[in-house]
Amino acid sequence: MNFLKRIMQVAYHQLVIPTAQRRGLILLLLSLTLAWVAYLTLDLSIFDLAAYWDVTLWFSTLGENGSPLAGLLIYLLAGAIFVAALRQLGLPAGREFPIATQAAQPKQPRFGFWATSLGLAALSFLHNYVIDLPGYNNRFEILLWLTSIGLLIATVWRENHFHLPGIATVKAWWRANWRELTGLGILLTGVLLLRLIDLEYLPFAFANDEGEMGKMALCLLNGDCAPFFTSRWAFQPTLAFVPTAISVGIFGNTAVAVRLVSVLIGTLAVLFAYLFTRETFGQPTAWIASVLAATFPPHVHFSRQGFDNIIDSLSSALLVWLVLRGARKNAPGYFLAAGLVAGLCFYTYPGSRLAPVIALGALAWISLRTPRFLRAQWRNLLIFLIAAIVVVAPIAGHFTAYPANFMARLERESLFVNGPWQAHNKLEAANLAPVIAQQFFKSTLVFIATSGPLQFFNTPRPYFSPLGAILFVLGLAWLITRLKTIHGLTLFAWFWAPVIIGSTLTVGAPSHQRMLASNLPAVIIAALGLTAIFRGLPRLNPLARRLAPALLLLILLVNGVADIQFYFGDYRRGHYGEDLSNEITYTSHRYIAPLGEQGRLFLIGSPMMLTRFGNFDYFAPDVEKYDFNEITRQALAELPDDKNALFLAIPSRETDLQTIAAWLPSGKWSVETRRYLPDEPLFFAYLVSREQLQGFQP
Amino acid sequence: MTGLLIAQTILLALLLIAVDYLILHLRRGGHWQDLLHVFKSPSRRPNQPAAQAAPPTPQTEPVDPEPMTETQSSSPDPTPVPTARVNISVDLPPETVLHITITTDRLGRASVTETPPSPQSWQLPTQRPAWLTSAAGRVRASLQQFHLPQINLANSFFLLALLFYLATRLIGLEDFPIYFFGDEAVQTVSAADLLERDLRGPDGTLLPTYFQNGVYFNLSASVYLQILPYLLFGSSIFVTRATSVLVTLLAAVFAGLMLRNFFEAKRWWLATILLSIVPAWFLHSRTAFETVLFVSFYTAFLYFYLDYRLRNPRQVFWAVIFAGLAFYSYSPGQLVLGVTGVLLFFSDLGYHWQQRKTLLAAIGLLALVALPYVRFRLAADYSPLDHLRSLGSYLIQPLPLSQKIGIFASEYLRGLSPQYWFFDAPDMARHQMRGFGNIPLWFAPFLLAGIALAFWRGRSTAQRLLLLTALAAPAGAALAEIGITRILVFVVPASLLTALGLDWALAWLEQLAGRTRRRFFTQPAFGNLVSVVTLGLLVSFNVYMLREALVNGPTWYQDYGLYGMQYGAKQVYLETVVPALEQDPNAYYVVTPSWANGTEQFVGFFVPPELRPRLMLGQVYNLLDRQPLPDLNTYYIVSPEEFDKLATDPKFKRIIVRSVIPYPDGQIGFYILNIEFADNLAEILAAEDAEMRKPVESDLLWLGQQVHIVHSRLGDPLIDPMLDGDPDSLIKGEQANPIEFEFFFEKPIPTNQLEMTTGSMSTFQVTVQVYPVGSETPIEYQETFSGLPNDPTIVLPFVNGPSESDHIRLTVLDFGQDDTAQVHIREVNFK
Repeated sequence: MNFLKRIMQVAYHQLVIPTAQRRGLILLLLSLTLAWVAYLTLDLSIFDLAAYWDVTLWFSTLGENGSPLAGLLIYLLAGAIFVAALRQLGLPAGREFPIATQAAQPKQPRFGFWATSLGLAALSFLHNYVIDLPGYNNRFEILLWLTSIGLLIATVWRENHFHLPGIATVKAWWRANWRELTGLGILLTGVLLLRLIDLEYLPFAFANDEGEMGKMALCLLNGDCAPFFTSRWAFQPTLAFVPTAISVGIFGNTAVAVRLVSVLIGTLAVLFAYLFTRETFGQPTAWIASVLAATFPPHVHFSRQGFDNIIDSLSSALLVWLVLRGARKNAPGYFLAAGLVAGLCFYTYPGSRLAPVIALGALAWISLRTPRFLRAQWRNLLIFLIAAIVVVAPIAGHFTAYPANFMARLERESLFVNGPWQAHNKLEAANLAPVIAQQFFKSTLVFIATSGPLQFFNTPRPYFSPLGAILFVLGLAWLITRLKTIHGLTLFAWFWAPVIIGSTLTVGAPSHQRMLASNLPAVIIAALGLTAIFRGLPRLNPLARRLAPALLLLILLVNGVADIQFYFGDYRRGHYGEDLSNEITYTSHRYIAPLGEQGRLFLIGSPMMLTRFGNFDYFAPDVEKYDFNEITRQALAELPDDKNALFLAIPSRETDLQTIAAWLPSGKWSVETRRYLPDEPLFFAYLVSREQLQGFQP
Repeated sequence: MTGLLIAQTILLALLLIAVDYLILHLRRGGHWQDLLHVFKSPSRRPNQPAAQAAPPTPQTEPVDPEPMTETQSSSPDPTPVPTARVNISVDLPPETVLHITITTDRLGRASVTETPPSPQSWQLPTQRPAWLTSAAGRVRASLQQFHLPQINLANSFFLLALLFYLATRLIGLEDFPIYFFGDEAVQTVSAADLLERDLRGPDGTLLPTYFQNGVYFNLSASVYLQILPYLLFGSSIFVTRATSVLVTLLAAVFAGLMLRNFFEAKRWWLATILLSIVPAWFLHSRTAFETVLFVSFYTAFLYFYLDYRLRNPRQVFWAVIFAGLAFYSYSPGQLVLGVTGVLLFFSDLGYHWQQRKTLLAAIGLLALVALPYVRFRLAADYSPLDHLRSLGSYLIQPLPLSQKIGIFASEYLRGLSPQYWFFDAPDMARHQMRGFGNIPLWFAPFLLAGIALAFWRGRSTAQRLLLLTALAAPAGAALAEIGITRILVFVVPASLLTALGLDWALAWLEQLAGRTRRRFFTQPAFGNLVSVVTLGLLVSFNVYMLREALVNGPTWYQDYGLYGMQYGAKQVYLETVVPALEQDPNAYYVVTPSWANGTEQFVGFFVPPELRPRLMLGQVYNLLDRQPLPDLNTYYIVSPEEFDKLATDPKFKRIIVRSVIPYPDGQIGFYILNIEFADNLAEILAAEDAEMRKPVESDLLWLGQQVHIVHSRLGDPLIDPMLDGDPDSLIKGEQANPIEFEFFFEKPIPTNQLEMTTGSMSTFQVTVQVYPVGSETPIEYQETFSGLPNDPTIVLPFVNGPSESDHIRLTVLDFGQDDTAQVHIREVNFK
């Protein structure tokens, strides 16, 4: 009896839930249920109807599944109850992010190159501002820029008596952190692998814009890209292509070489997201966020594409981490690094320019929330500012001289600029509000409810898995209750700024590629939701405390498997990332590149493609290429005939190629089929020798 | 050019490193005024007690402690801390180094110990190798020998600077600038004409105030300056330009002297050498443009004004004389001079009042100086507004006043903008030195320092004058459009301010080095070394500029034509036409005038009078009506564009190219050719003439209704400028004299009189045929006008009616020209 009694006591002790927590549990379950219902409601709504996005019709169709309003309202309710549940469970209110308000111990000033660095940067600005500056020397300008940066780093280094850590220090650090470092290493390896596996063929095919990146890399490697401080393809400064150039220089002009840069950038972005989250919301949240980020489909996707827009996620994560850590520790080194990164943001994909704005916003918020912050850390802010100015100076000179280059992307994509899109849509002020509302919901619902067509991703599924979507919404609700905190608002702004500026206010929402910077804060918000739940659960009873980690792992596993299954399975099998034009230009390189300098390509590609598409030049830079669309005997006779000729036709121009084959018999005819749709022809190729071509009579 | 860029960068980096030292100094508790201390006596240094009279020899003495005053105490300790006050006064012979140690004891009593420098302190450490010690000794000995009295060295440097100034102007003077401009030639030509006419102008005026250059009456002092050189050496590019160069020496001299006498700068010669290397000045001071004379006289005026203001009131007379010379040198400079005068008047009002007696006499001299101008104003029809209209100034355009003020402000500010001065400004290529900017970029920090110093010492008249003259500089140019010739005067305050900044920087460098307490750096020899290095660098830069100008200058800009360098005066006339006419007495040359402004001046400048009858400015088209037609002894010098036109013109049977004159980059600049005319030339010309005389029809809205106008062919197809109410716009007939207009109105208009503004014509006839409504017979009015002022407005009343008409025919005949003339009509109105 005693034994049974003992068992009962133990069971009671393990299972009983105190009254207050019981209410909290009920509310938590209710919020989760409601969130699930909200998800289903949204999932069942028909979002591919035009009316779905018309905000003015939402109230009249509230009871139907023709709008997202019902689902959103239920989500709203779920979020409110979730917050109430956490309070009932006694989840401690989030602490304010600690900011150092004690001024650093004054040190004897040392000689530094403050004025020299700034002065050289100003000179660099001027050199690049003056159009056609006589004597402009590209290498000298690069050296000047690097010198000004180097002098600044040396100055801050000396000023703050920095020194490299000794081996003993490193060993001690390793001993203290080896578990975390090992875990992080394993996690990042996983992140890397998820972005590296089958890189060449997923996403398929290697896009022409990636080819353009490769072309720029070749241009740099060949030394043809001077001056350095200017805008190049897609109005990006030359520096944006340097990582690709290094990769192509090492691995050759292959698809993997171009994409590898994005893989590394994406992996590093996850690392810095981890560091940011660890700094602000604690280690558990950081781990959860990193695991979620590892498999987050849009991040995985863009980390596997050769465009450099994935750098948005790295620059924003790195910058907010550096700024907040620097402010917490009153550490000039972090501010120096932050300034350098902020300056570099102007040298790459234009979306990265948002990162310094977010960082400055965070600093502004810190100074508002922390009264003595400015007095204690004004030197750090000055370092941040100077570093950013020094780094940005030369390209700022170029952009000042050519403001159109700076604004080009904005003018092309922004809703507010009189661009071709506006003209096309006859967009007027009167109907701008509904359009913006539509843009906003397209940009936000793609995270949790709707598909996202085109825009370099063409996802049939929301970014988040069902579980992830629910966690994201609940995490967002929880975050809203902590907006007053420094890290809370920083994360909030970090998420919303790209969504609004990058996608809502630009054409073609949701613009996956322009709101990549919001990917990582989104998963951090989802991680906050999950962390909140698993901080509340252990307060129910001991059993819940023991089961919570396992449950947490299970949720992460389920979510991860769902994401991986989607991206590596459904997305690939559904051919969502495929594009005929890209596939032709990519696959054809196996035919074109072997021609080398001994052959020419004559492309019968109208109306689909031209020889100036990036892939042609990237994979076969030595081959002369001509568009050959008017097929007549006379035109054929006028072609240069001192080299072998490869005629390549898109499927719709097969008959034209057959005509050429009839006029130039005894060439080699080939048919290439699509890689993942083998029943469909991809292109037709016909190779004739120089002698055959020379023998042709019109 | 890359080398220049790198050199500028290194120079800037060195300067910035010095600034970094300054920053370190300030951060370590130093005071920024310490850096200015080099200009002052120690007694003026902040927080430093003034030296007072003391016994003549150094002494060691106990000094009584003095309690600290309340305001000096910042210590929380209530007990006052005693401080010592030490008064030191020492008489020292030249080249003495004195070490003084001041110590205080616990009670705050101070003692002063003077230690004479021991000879051993000059010895190098004994552990150094003997050869090193010996070498160091030799170096030290030579440095000691190098230590000359500072003032003599400065004078020598000044003379050296002037020498290099002259050398870098006179060497290759004919070759750079690569053009010789009509505006340069006209000075000598006008001087020659003046001598030819026994010192009278074309209208018989004795010693005319102004001479005409094209449509402008803007030559005065520059012509008179060329008289003597012309008499002595005749006309040549070198003489004309060298005369101007010698006058510019005034600017170089007075810039240096100003810095010496009124700014007390240690290295006052910097102003001279810095002015010498300002690219805008370098280029223009090698020309005979009037603007450089203005700048030179203006600089002399500034010098004597300061002399009047700071040393000797009687120097105001020289100031007036040089102001007058500046005034008569360059028209756009007159406003600059006026603005400067007003600013200086108010700036030093109190002093002027004190010197009112002297000033009254000076005003008398001023009136005397102004007399020629007053005479010209009273006698001539030409007004400054005519000049502005010729320049297309916005001031005389029908714009709202607010807009004019806005444009003026914008132009004015552009004249002061760093972008304009430090980079290649959007001026004409012929006024720029490619890659050098108007002022070298590396001047900027020193100029900035100079401005800062001038502001800081704003109470000083001299410093204030620099700022005021800089502000006055763009005033004249802003009336039309900023251009380097109009704003060239800015280089003077810019050079002086830069020299002040550089002098300050060097003095500070000396002081900084002196703090190392190394013996060498505290010796005057170090200061001399700094001066030598500085002068060496600046002179090297000047020589480098000269080399660049002479070697690469000819190909800096590839537009050698009318809108570019206007290259070819020397090559066409001096090297081609004159020798050819001298060698071949049957030769006749027709030289195109289209490649440069004022090409007619080149004939008077280069071609001896006896050869001029065999030279004509024009084109072959001007000879088509000659009988017989020119033969193969007639040579035509044409531009490539004209050659292309000739080559395809059926009027010419054969074009025979005899030779070419290349541009500096190897392109063909001029063709020298003979022409054989087509056999059917007369028929071709008749057909062309018939085509030209076909009337043209225009329809436009005028006087509130649609008007159909049948008129002679116009140079510009639009007839609107004649009917727009703006007499500044005009139409030109195309080979139509008389020029005819026939107006057809939809509704009859009142016809009381004709008001018409024409271009300038000596004698012309206006005929108006007014058709009464519904009648085919006009009432004709005709009147001949002569002796009217330029661009006259005439009124022709229709005294015989009709009161209304819907059909009017207007004819204007210029008696002074043939039937191919371009008659100008500015405005027509019927009332």
